[in-house]
Amino acid sequence: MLQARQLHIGYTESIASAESLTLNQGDLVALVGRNGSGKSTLLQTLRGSLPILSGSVRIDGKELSHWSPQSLATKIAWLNAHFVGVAQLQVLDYVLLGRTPYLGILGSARQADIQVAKQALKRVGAEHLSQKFTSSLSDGERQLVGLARALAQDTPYIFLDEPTAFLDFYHRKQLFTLLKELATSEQKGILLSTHDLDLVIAFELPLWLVPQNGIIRAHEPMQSREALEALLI
Amino acid sequence: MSQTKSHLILLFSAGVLLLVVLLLYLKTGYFNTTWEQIFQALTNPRDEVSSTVVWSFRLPRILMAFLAGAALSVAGMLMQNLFQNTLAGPDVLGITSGSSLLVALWMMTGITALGSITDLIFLGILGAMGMGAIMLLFALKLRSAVHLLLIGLMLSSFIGAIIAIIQASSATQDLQQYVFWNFGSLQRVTIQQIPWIAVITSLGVILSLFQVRVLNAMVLGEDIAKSLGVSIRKVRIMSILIAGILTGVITAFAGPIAFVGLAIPNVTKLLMKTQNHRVLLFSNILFGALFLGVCDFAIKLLESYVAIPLNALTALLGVPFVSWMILKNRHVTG
Repeated sequence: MLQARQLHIGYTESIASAESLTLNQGDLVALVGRNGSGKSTLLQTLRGSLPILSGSVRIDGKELSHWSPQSLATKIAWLNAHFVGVAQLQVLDYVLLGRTPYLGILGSARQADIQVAKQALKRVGAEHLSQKFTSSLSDGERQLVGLARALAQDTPYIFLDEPTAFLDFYHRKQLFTLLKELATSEQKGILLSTHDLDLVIAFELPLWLVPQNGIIRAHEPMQSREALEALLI
Repeated sequence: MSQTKSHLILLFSAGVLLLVVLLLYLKTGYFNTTWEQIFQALTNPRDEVSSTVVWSFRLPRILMAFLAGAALSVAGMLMQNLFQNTLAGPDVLGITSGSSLLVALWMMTGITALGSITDLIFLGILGAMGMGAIMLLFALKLRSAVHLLLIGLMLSSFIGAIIAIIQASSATQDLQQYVFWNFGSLQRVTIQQIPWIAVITSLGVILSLFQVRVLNAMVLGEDIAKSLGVSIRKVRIMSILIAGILTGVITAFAGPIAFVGLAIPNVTKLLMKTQNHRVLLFSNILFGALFLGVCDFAIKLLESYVAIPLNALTALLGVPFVSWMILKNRHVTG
């Protein structure tokens, strides 16, 4: 369980706060809010990349600041919207980088790590891409192999920052479906920030709302887009 | 054909070529030597001219070329990884000039502390690491590759100006020594110094080997690398430390050698088609050694027609290459 209590977030001064937020394994939660509302800041704070201004974030009961970088990397996987591929980096090698926290001092991948990476690619339906170079993939393919990398990291929680930003309608829906499946079948706690309000409603996702007043709160799935938009103003 | 297999074939070929260059180099020169004499000199050196030629002139120079090529290429690989910029390298980032400054001070003011060899090594490394740290501070503020390169260029000029002042007020003999050092001079290294340089270079390589895991993750950018459990602070310190050791020791003995550290890591990546830094590390060592070995062999062959300083040759080859790199990457960087 990932829990935030009395949380204040921001770089130097508080830009948003949350009384109580909980992400369970098996949940797929949509983090919604307007541009600049603090979605990214919240994600950064929850994954330990930005210090907490005040309050607490606990993962499995242990305060976030007490996790070492390497052990935290076995709890939370992170996928941003802007992976543009790396020249000379093959997809399988890219997915294998998800195994980084588990590798020994010399950093060599064992056969077991390679199996995990292949399995992850298969899980997202992208095993046919494994020998391609990441720089030659389409936006949709990149998000899939990115998700495979996050799966190879074998963490209970996955955070995604606007993963559908560069995708067409088909790939957006495909990604949401896949995330929903992963949350249920693999018991992943998945938190994604998104502006895809229609999909959020269609998939009946529970919400973390980041309204303009900066008071973040959890909310039941919404039925109508108008009602959801009204909550974000 | 699997990638591993093609990697092995390429590395093996480079190894064989390295051996060929070594043997041809030992055979070639003003003084005519037969293969028997070379073999004799290597296995059982005697008080003969051929033994002296091999041990005092040819062997230290070619070994230094190999060591310098390997060390500078590995340093370049680390810098390109750290700055996430294919145009980074120990010389363009001004790291080499850091060594130059301290070595120039030492050569031309005559201040010694620990005895000549230790002084030279220590100052070379210290200067390189100091400049590495300064460039890192700039890199944290500047995202644009072009700005960073400009800063590196300006810092090099700045240091050049300080060196010019030292030069202007130093004795002719010291000045001459510095000028030859500045040409990039492999021939000044003695066979007794080679083990020192080899040990320190190996130290840099061994330290790099323990960095492979994080170097690979850094390819995805600092943000993702961090989420994979990499401590960014540690990577920065280690990369600058290792690049400083490698650049510093080579620069101290052979002078500032331009472009090798920039060009070879790029060529290596293109040839090996991988971002696995274990493969890249060994490839950079072999390709870097081979490149500088071939360069110095060419210089030696042309010696009777024209004297080409090593630095002039690497620049003649390097500048067109780097220009091409910038043109090719103009949509990505900046």
